[in-house]
Amino acid sequence: MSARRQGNRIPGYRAYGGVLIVSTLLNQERRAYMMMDSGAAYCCITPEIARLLRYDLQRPMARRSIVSAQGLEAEVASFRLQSLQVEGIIVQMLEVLVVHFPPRLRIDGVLGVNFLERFRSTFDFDTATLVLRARSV
Amino acid sequence: MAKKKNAIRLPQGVSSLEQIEAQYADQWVLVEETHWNKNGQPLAGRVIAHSQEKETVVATGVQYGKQHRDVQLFLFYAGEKIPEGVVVLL
Repeated sequence: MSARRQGNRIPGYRAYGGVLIVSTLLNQERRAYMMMDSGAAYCCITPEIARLLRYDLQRPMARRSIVSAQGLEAEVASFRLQSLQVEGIIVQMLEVLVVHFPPRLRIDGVLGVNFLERFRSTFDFDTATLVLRARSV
Repeated sequence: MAKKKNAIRLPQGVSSLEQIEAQYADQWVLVEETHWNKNGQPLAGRVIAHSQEKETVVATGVQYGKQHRDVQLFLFYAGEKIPEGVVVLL
């Protein structure tokens, strides 16, 4: 990964309610709209994106227990992406969970803490921008 | 009307993403990306499938992806990703 000191500014857009959505490229082959969610421990993708990435949902890398703010508890499949790219930033070997989203949410997943923690991540809501700076050693 | 500066000339069958969003409004669209900006963001592509039924487009995408391993596919909803009035709380 290579975030310059001044930070890489990732342009996104703000959907209804002000949430920030950015375009990502998964495994260098499938693009996905993902919502920023610093309240999610892991990145998530929908089952449809998992199928497009040719993941076998019956044979996940692991299964994780999840619990949501609404009280949903479930066991979900987990896979390791070869890469997740946002603009010029590429993160390799990133674990993602496969989660069903309600049909009215037409996003492909969320970028959670296991991605954001790899940087000094900030959200510039005024300009609908995700800013990723290299972490101090 | 003056042409847009830096407008790209697209081959037949290829449309800009803005054109695709407008033409297939409120549908799910599967696009094979063909043109990108310097940051790798898609600018244009070829529409492979479109439907109001997401599963129809996903199924096409799975098959198309098996037959064309080296392409970048973009499946998206041509419209608001979060409908007005729907507050997201995950």
